[in-house]
Amino acid sequence: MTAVHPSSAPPEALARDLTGADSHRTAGPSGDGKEKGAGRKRKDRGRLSVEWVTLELMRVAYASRGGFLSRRDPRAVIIWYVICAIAPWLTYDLTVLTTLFALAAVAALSARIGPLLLGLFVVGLITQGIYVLVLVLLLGGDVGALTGLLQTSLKLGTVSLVSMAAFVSLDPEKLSDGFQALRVPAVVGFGVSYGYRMVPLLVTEFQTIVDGHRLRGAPPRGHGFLGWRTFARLGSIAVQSFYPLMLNTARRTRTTVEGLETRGFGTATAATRSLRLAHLRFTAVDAALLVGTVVLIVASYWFGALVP
Amino acid sequence: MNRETTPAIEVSDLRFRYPGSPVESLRGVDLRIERGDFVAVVGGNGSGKTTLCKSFNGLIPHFWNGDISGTVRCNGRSTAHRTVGEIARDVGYVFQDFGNQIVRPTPRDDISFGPLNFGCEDWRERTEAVLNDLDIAHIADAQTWQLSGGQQHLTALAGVLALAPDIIVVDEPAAEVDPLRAAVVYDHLARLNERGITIIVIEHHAELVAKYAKTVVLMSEGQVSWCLPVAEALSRTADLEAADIPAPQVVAAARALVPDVARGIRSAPLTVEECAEAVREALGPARDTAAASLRLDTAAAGTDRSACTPASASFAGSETDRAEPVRGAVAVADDACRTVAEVRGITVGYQTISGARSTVIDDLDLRLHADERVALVGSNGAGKSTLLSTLAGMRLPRDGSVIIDGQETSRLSPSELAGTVCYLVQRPDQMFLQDSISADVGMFPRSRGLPDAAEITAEVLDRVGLSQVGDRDGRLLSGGQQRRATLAIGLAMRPTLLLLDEPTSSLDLRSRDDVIDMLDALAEHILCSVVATHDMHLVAEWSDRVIVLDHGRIIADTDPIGLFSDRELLDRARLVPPQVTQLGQQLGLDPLPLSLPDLITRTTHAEEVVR
Amino acid sequence: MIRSAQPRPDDSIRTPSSDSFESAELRHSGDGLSSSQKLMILVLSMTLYGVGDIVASVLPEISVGPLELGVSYFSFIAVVLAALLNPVWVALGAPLGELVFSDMLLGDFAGLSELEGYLETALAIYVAGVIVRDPCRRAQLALACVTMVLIDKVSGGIIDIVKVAVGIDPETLEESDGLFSAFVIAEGLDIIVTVAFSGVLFGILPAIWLAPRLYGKIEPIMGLRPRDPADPPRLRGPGGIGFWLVAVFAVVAAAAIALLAAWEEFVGKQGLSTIGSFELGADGQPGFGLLAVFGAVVVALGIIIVLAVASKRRRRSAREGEGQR
Repeated sequence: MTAVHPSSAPPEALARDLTGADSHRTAGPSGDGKEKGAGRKRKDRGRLSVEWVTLELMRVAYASRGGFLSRRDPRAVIIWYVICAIAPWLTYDLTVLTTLFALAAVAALSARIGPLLLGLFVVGLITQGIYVLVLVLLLGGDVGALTGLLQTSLKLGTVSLVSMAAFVSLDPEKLSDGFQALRVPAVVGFGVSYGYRMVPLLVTEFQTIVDGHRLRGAPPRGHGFLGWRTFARLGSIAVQSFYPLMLNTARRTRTTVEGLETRGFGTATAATRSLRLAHLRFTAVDAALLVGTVVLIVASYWFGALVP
Repeated sequence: MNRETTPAIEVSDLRFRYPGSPVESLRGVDLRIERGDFVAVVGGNGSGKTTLCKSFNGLIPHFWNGDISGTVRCNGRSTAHRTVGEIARDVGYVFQDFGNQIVRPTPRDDISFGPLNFGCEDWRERTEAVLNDLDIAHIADAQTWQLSGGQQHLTALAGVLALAPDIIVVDEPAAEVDPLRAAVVYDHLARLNERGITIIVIEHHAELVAKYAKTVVLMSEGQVSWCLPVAEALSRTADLEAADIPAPQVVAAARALVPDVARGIRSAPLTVEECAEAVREALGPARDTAAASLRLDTAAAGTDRSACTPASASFAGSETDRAEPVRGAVAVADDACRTVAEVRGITVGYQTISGARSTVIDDLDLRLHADERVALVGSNGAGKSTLLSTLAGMRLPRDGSVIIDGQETSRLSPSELAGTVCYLVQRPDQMFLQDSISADVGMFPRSRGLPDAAEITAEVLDRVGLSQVGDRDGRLLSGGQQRRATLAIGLAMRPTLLLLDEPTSSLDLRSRDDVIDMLDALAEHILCSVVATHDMHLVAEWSDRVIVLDHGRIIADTDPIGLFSDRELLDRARLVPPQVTQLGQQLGLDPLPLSLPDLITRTTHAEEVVR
Repeated sequence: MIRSAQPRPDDSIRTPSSDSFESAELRHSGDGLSSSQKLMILVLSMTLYGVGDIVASVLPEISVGPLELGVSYFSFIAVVLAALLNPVWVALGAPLGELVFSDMLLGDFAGLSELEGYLETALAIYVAGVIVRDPCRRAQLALACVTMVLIDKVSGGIIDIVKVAVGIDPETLEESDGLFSAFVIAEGLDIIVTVAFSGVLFGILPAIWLAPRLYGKIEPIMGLRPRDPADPPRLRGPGGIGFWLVAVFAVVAAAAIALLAAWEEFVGKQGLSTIGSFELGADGQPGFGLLAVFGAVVVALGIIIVLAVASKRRRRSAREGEGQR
């Protein structure tokens, strides 16, 4: 039996969430320090556990939340994405950009992007805001420079929101169909489909391996200055876990590629493409979606011209 | 060339060496497999079974490009000048780790993958036909990663069938699924075989070979030793033993009890019914009386003990060395025995993809005592692994509490619990964190700063018989060695409570017996062991308490005999008793025999009594 | 139906027939890999790098705008794989994994500039893989890690700076001096931080630990020959074209894509944005206040969204709790 170190619980909690530590992004490595004392009850941490993150990724990947883009033709969604992603780059007008950003946010929310993506995005947004504020203070009144910065932030934010909305709504099949319809190399389409299939398995496997390290490895010895010990422990566990993960994944991959070969992946032809894409239907609703989007974008430019 | 007379597979003088390997894996193989045959390829680890089968569909040498010579023909056409994709329409292949063969997110999609790649216009019809054929239409649109092992296996088979090959190779169908599900796959294969499809399986469960195969090919050291019809093949027990394929229990029992079979005059029985028949004949008319007296004897013993709880009745008939402790509920009653773990009304659940919470363990109470060997059985999804990880403190219950050795798991961190409870997960490769077995075994003692870490490591490795390979990576060992290595990891942690998840799955019978022996030997070092398993041999030969889970509840807390005598319970938990127990049932033995020596002594002893 | 395992008598006459493997020219390209092995390396590096990216992105970090004090990626995964397996296919696969797993899955897909990032990272991984001749030599691994991060970051940084230089409105260029220098400093800082964290802490240290351990183990699992220190892969372009030509082409292509993006902005500036161009006060002071307010609004908005989502989830779980009773 190990001696119970008084402050061993918090790093454990951190390590527990090694792969699900989105709360720690905001908190920073030292943020969770006083959260728990020794002997305090652990709880069933449904929300921030690894399973939750895995499930959240799967919800993103398989579009199981629904949302207004999920029933559309993948080509329409991809074209919609391209239109929306290009729109903000055509202006430097802050009003237009803000309007577009707001529209994109509405689109993302109605595409039901889910709390994980929203959380990550908002965290990014907040740090971006802090960065702008700091720069404003540092550079004094050099506003011309900052306008550019703000413009870029808004543009990137808009594109990011739009891409979340689009890719959350496309399950891997639709996405790879869409790619294939747009004549992207077959291996990219396969990569997308395969990647989405493998992520939950690999994240679970990674978790099992990390658990093994937590159980069998050296117990944590306190936090250290600014939590460096915790950080070092986490980092070294994360790195060491890749040794078994790499070997196990190599074995998996070998079977997968053997399986691909035996099922004619390499011999796919033009006929394959047309067969696979035969079910795609570009409907009036899809067209309406694209027209409506263009109208909205033009309207926001018009709005930007009206309101300085 | 006449298609009817062309052999399905024709191999001549095939030699192959893997890149970087010093020895040849195939050393001049000659083999001819007829159309419509059902062939089982058997052989020990490293005998070249898989290598040979991978040459049938061109993976060797088109994927594994080592040094190769010789000829392989499928349906009369050489594989040398064709691609793997082309050969795939003749030969389908289901891999041992079939889960990785599924490349698309849903079964329907995965099944249509092959036909689409080959540009078949009728891919939709093919997919539907195969889905219905294998009875998996109801899971057609599920996510493949959420399917059970058996369902994944059928999906992989369906993906192969969709290309309508007339030869199908299945690598160890029974390796990763429970026996009943393996039987489902085998039944499908047998049906396909009746339609004229040539089936080739790699298998080391002699019982399955006996039941389904028509022809057996024995591989050893990269060569085909022989290729014989199944009845003849199975009576060559010496060859099979040498290749680590112990004879099925029915064959062994028949050899021990039926003189004609032992002398080779009569062919070995392949099913329990045949064997029971042969034994009855051999024992002659006297047997009935013998059985009657036997029943009388043990019935008396049985009533004695039935005054106790069901758990304590376990050793009524078995004369093994572990008959002495009668624990179970007796211990609970007088509290003479130490309680190692106590589970009070726990409910455990997961969050599902739809956001709702599923309940895997539902209001469960359980007490584990010192010196118990507990087998946790139940169908897939009954909650076995969840219960184990909750006991280990890796997962916390939503309601209720788990108390291990007097301490509540929720008050300790998993790493503090690690010295008390050790949980060995199902897949050994996830337990190997270091680049050598000895480093893995020594990881816990060293990290906890134990002064005698080196001695512990050496001693434990010695005890599991792996001192020779201590410096090798666990992943590169054979299946049986991998299991023993994980046991060593657990031993070095010196836990009070040892939890094992499927320690004998995907092992050949010899390695499985090794693991069971090892578990037996552990008893003196570990207070209490819990094993979640589908392996009824393990249950019969090792455990003294059986807990049957179903839908997150305990539906029975009994002992092996209690389990195997209860037809209804077995059906409900989807379990098949070992052959020797079935044989005992057919012969009317009561209580049921749990091991072969048990069966043999009791039948012959009874005979002597009558004489 | 008894078959003989013995060689049939005619076997001796039939050697070597046109059907045997000796007569077949097994299709391998110049680097000794079959197309399926290339696919396998590509898929493996894609998967591992993608997972590494997901893990790296949830490791704690402090990020201030574009400046991140943390692990931006696990460069060691790419370097180790490129050092052990064929660097070309690792270089093509790893950035694809980043694209597919983390960018698309996490909705961080930025269109054209992703393509630019792909080219830079692929080039960096390839060069790093070629530097390692013997995966057991620490010096080579260390050099490879630093080289990878430097090529990736410096080429990315240069392109970023070019983008800003071209993209900034010429009219405000004089005012933008401050931004420009700030930008160059930020890029420089970013490179230093990335080299320290991703190059050394999560590059060299893990790589020199991992590569020798995996050497000779991972290759046989995949049916490949371990790298021979006497015959390492060389910098080589496809089809015998010189490597440097390809490298220059890759950088030019990346720069061209970046310029295209910038040009779009420029055209947009000239065309559409003049319609409603947002004029700041000549002294710039109102703008300062405006920006400060804007920044504050963004922060406030973010916090409000977080709180709203949190309370909504709480309400829903409470409702579910009731539903279960």
